[in-house]
Amino acid sequence: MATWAIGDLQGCAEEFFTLLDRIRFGAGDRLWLLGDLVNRGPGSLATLRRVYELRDQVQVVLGNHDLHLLAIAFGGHRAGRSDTFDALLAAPDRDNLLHWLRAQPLMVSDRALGYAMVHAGVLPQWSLADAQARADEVAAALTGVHYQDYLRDLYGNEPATWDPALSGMARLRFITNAFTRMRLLLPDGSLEFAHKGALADAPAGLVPWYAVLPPATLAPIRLLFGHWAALNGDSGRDDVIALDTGCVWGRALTALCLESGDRVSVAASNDRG
Amino acid sequence: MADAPADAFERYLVGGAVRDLALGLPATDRDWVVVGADPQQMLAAGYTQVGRDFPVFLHPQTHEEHALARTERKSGPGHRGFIVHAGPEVTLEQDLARRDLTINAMAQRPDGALVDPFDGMRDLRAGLLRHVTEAFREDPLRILRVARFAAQLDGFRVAPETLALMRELSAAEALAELPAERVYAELAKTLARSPRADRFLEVLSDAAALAPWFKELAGVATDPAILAQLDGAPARFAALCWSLPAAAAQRLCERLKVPNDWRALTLACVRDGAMLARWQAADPQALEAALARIGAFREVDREAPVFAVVSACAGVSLAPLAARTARIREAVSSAPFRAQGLAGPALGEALREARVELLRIDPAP
Repeated sequence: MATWAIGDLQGCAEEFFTLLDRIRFGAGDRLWLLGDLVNRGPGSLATLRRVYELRDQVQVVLGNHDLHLLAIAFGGHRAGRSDTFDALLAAPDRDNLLHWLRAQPLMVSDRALGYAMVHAGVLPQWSLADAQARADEVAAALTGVHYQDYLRDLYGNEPATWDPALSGMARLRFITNAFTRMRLLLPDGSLEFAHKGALADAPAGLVPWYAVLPPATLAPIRLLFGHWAALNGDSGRDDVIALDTGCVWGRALTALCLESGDRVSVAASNDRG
Repeated sequence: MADAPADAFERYLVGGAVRDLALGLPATDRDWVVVGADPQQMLAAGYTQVGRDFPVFLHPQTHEEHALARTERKSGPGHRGFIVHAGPEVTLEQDLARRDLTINAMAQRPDGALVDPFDGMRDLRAGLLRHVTEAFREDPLRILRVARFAAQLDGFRVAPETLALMRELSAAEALAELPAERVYAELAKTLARSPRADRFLEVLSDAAALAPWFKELAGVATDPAILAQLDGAPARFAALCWSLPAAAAQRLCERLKVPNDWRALTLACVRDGAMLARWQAADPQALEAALARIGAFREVDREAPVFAVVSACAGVSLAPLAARTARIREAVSSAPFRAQGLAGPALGEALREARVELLRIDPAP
């Protein structure tokens, strides 16, 4: 029995299926998916259907694109030009898939396995237990009766700074942004969303969240994240592991075996890039 | 008849009617779904439209409800209703997919052929309550509906994956956000239709869903044999509350916004039930006060619902006390005391003494 973690699928159904074959994913195995199952790639519907079929073996955390899909389906938001949700939103089984997706968390940790996962990152001010409690607040909003209010008011970069006294939608928005959109932090620890590219090109004074995450926050757990394709799987730390290797941008989809440390990659199909 | 315009549509018997037919239960309301038609065609064929929120029509001869096949989706944020989409292009399967349980998502053609895309018949034969799709999550009231069906359908249990889903929803505290009126309505339906309220609570307990609405009833196991002796929702509710402290029963009544008759019966039972059950040993003055609180001296048979619950729950016969209460009603009236010039509090006191006297003499063995 093995547990495989895979980074952002983003609708790369073909590569996802190939990768499952390549790792010989079987009935006794488990899959950890780091969020952004959908969008930009051509096969969001097929990807989500396959993940749903495997749901008893799968742990998912939600990414910004997953929330974007839910915000369009349930929160009254419109799809943008680069979104590729049309087939999914028109599918006869859409409600089944979307309500299942809505019930997924923002953070999963497994002490026995020695790993935790989030889509974008963990705010360096938080302990791991704090982070889980904050993630659970958003999960409660997403599964509660008023989930549509949350999905309507989800968007925005403010507040950019964490304050334990935050409440209501401002609090949920900050938590959501930290777990699903965060990349760089300003010197005062607030979230900065303008730069999405390679680290080397980041404006002076900005640091990636994982560079200032105290090792003691995690130990002995190791943290998996996706979201930041430009890192190409390299965080420079052993205990914080970047797994988005940019499949939807023409690079590769990577699976990491959490028990053995083996990595298996599938190159992106060449009809895109 | 088959050529009559009203019967020319592609139509299916759906929901509870198909389920109850398959279970050999007495027919309930027969609801139909019509596929491929629009409202104008229905009206032209002689149907009358009755639905306001979505198109429902009455058949010109049978007057049975016919709804156009529809999909339902929770409407935009800020709204609490559903966006209903009905149109000739909505398929029967889409209409069935919005339903809660597979046994409620079967359809039957007028010729008797079953349409069963979600294996409802398999689950019905196995006695399983299983959710149709993940859209079950859309309405946490469905947790209570599942518990109701477990109470209503003898021998049915909740499928493991549905129970897991119910637990997940309960953990997310989705139930807390329901309005009390909807929770009460589901409870009232359960109690009115089935004596197995114990099953209702058992399933909610299995789903970790007793809190917040029924949290006082956690750990309360009401014997189905007791419930079987009682008719009607108020009496069955009072029986569920029998072992609760009065303050807990009152909190439960207030939270569920139960009607006054439920509340009065329940509080009378939890406050005075123990004394009424051992009335021969009770202090006659306290007994008189309890009977007066119930209203037994004001109105014939006013005590009957309380006595029925106490008899069933305590396993005693209150027939002798009922007979004595009736005698007191006949024997003690205010006219003779008024003739003596008594009025106001003094009159009340005299009446009380007369009743206490009749409760005191000739104590039953």
